[in-house]
Amino acid sequence: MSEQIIESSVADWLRQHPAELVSISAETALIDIVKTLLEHDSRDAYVVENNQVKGHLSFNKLLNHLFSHDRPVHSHRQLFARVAAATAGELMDPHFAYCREDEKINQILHRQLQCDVCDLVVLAADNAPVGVIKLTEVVRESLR
Amino acid sequence: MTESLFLNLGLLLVTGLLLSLVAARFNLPRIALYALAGLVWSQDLLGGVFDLQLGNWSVVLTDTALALIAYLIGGSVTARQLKRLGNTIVFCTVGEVLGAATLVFLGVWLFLSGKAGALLVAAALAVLAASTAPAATVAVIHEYRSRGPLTTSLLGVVALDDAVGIILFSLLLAITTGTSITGAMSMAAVEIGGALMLGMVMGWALAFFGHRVRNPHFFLPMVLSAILLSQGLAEIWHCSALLTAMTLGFVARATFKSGGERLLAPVEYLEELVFLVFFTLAGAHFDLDVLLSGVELVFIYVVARVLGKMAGTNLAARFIAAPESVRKYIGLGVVPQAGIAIGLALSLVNHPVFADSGLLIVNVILASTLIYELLGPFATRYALLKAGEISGEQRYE
Repeated sequence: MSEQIIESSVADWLRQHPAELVSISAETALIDIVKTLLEHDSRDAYVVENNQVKGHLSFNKLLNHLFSHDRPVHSHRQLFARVAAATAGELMDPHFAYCREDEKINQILHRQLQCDVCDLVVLAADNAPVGVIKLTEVVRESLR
Repeated sequence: MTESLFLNLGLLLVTGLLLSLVAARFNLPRIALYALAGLVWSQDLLGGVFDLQLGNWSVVLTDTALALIAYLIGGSVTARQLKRLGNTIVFCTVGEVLGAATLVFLGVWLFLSGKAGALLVAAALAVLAASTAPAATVAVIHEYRSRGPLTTSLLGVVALDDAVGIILFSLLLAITTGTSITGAMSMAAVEIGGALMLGMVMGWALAFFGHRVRNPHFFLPMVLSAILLSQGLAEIWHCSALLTAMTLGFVARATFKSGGERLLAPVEYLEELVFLVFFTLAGAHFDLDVLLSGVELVFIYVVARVLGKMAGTNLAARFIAAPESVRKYIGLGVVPQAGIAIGLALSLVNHPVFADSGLLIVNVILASTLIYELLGPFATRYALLKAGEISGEQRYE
C-alpha cells in the first residue's frame, strides 16, 4: 500500500472518496434492509436515530436470519429467532466499529479487518455519522 | 481398577467421534452411535475387561455440561420474542409437557405400585418426558422443506419445551431434597428463589462486563467463567444449579439487549461436545441386568409419553382454537427425545435421593431415546405430510 494512502487522514480520504452510509431505522424489515444493501452495493447497514448511530448490521447476519429455513441445524437461539421474526433493532450490534475524521487510514485498516466490516462508519466529534470508508475503495486505490 | 479421568474420557470421546464418522458415512443417527461408543466401554463389555471405572469425575462433567446447556437455553429467547411466539406455541408446549408428564407418571406409578421408590421413579421419568429433540425435528423440516402453520408451531414448541423440562426437573430436585412435606416445600422455596436471585445478579454482571469488552475472543472465557462461578456459588448456597444457569443466560441476554447473541454464540460451538459427552457417558452407564429388569418400564414410558404428548397438544390446541392441522398432528411431531433428557437423567445417577433408582432411570431413558431416535423422524414426517405441509417433490437431495 502506498505511503500516500497510509498517511492520509480519514477526513482527506472522505473528501476524495465520498461514500454515504446505508442508514436504516430500528423497525425496518430485514428483507428491506437486504434490498437496500444490494441497491447500494454495500455489505454494512447502520441503524440511525436522531442523527446518531445506534448499531450495525452485516449482510451475512441478515442472510443468516432470512435464509434460516435453508439451515439444517439450529441452536435454540436460532429456533426462537426463526419463529419470532426479529427486527433490525433486535439484531443490530450496538458495539459497532467506527473511526474518527482525524485518524489515519493505516490506523483503521486493522479495525476494519478484525471486525469484518467493509463499510466502516466515520463519526464526527458530536458522534453524527459523516460517511463510510469503503474497504474495497482502499484496496482498489492501493493496487493502482 | 483404572479410574483415570483422562483415559476414560479420552476413550469415550475418541470412540464416539470414530463412530460418528461411520454414522455420517452410512447416514445413521449420530447420537445412537455416540451411545454405542459409550456402550462399548460399559462394564458389560470392554469397561469390564479392562476394569475401567466411571469415577466421580463423570458427575462433575455432567453437571458442567448441563449448566452450559441450561445457560444456552435460558439465553436463547428474549422477553420480546416470548411475547411474539403466540398462543398456539405457548399453549401447545404446556399441553404436551403436562400431558406427557401426567401419563408417564400414572403409567409408571401404577406399574411400580407397592415397590420401594415407585413415586420417585415415576416423578423423575415424568419430568424427563417433557423435553424433546429439536435437532431431529429441524432435520426433518429441512429435508422436506416443510412450511406452514404446523411447521412454525412445531419449531416453537420443540424450542420452548426444553426450557420447561429443565424448570420441572429443577423443581423435582428441589422438592425431593427435603425430609418432610413442609421441609421439602421450604427447602424448595429457598433453592428456587436463591437460584433466581443468584442467576439475576450473575446475569446482570455478565452483561455489564460484556458491554465493556470489544475483543470478541474474550467472550467465551468470560461466559465460561461466569457459568462456573455461578455453579460454585449455587453449590455452596444450596441453590438449584440448573435454574441458576438458565436465569443467568436469560438475564444476561435481556440486560445486554440487542446484539446479546455474542454472549451465546461462542458457547454454542461447545454444544456438540456436550452431547458427545452426554451420550457416551450414558452408554457407558449401560447395564444389561438393570435394563432387563426394567424393560416393561421402557415400553410404558415410550407409549405413555407419546400418548400424553398427543392428548395434551390436542386439548391445548382445541382450547385456543388452533388450526386443524396443528390440533391433529402436532403431538406426533414432538415425539423425538435426545440430549437434554439423557443429560438430566445422568445427573441423577450420583444424586443421594436417587441412589437406588438412578441407574435404572438412565437405562430407561437411554433405551427409550434410541427407540425415539428411530421412530421420531418418521412420526414428524407423517405429521407434516398429513398436515399438507410437505410433498414428495419438495425433498432436498
